[in-house]
Amino acid sequence: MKFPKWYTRWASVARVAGLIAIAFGVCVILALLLTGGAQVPNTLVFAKSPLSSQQERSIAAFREVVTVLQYPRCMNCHVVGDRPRQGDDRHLHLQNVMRGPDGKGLPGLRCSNCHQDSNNESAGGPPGAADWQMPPSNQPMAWEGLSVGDLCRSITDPSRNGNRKVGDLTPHMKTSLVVWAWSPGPERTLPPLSYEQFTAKVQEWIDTGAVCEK
Amino acid sequence: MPWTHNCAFLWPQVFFAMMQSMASEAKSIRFNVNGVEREVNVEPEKPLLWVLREDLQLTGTKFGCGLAQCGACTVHLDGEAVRSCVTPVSRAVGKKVMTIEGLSAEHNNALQEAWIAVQVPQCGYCQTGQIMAAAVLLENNPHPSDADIDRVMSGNICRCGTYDRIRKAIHRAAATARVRS
Repeated sequence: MKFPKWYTRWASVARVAGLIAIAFGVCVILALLLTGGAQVPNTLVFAKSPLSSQQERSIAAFREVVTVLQYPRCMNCHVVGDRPRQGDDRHLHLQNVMRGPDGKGLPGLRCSNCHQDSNNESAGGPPGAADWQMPPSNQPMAWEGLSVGDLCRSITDPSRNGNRKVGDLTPHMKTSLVVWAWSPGPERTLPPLSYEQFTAKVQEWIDTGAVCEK
Repeated sequence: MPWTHNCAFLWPQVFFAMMQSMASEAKSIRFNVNGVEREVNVEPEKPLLWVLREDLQLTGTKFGCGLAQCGACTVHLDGEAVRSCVTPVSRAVGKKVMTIEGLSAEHNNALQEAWIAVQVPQCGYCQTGQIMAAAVLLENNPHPSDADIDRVMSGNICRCGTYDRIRKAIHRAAATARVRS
């Protein structure tokens, strides 16, 4: 059978192009397998791929972060409702203190009426740090009763975390009020991780995709 | 051997004591008290309460618990009802402080009149703090409900339990203030 000249010419070009495409595809697959998929975007999923282990690392990092977030030093102000709590037993704050619209108390009973910029070093004296406050009433950031996954989703959701992107959480961890948890003054216990361990785990969780477990 | 060599082990303690005395050195502090500019030479961390009572002889403000728990020491700092027993005087620099003595020149503030009319005090020790807290409440809420009063005044403890009369006097003062304005 005889084909027209134009057909045989284009058929040979197509064969070469097809071989090049196949070779390129094989190279990409080999490269992914050999490099461990480090640069694979999160949207790609392979069975038992290294991406799963990255997600697992992220989830594991957050499980350590959450031991701090759920500790009374943080949780006493991240409450459901408008009344902060006190102490390791998390009793309601004395004096019937309320959140107030801006999270800094009601007029006449503001946080800063008692809480100064630094701790009162007397036993039973009020702790202190700059900008002492609860989350504001329009975004109360209530963590009480949340599962680890729900708490994770809560702090990564800008509509529930003070309009912060995930990357903005790192600077937030350096604010005086957060850092205070590791120097809370007399008779107050420390969170289970050191500040350095905590910030390292937060960074690891963010760097691995800030994944939240179900 | 000089005696100073025998006591060499004491030098770190001496150095530490010197550093401590330097850290708590008195400084000139200026702020406005009851409309008058005042200057005191005190340690910046000295509680405002003791500056008012000891250095400025304004003894109407009382010491209660010393831990911001009871409210007896309440004064106004730029219009806020702060607990002066835990407030370092350095926080008042350049600000306006008002004590019970500055609430009215003739003791005719609506709250003071209401307090007398209702005969609120029993022992009276906490009452200056109660009145100063109530003044901030009325400044922000000229027509408070019972719940509003309870919310804000819960920070001020009365050992004699005069809470009902305090609430009644605040309502009376609020009504008087509304008529006057």
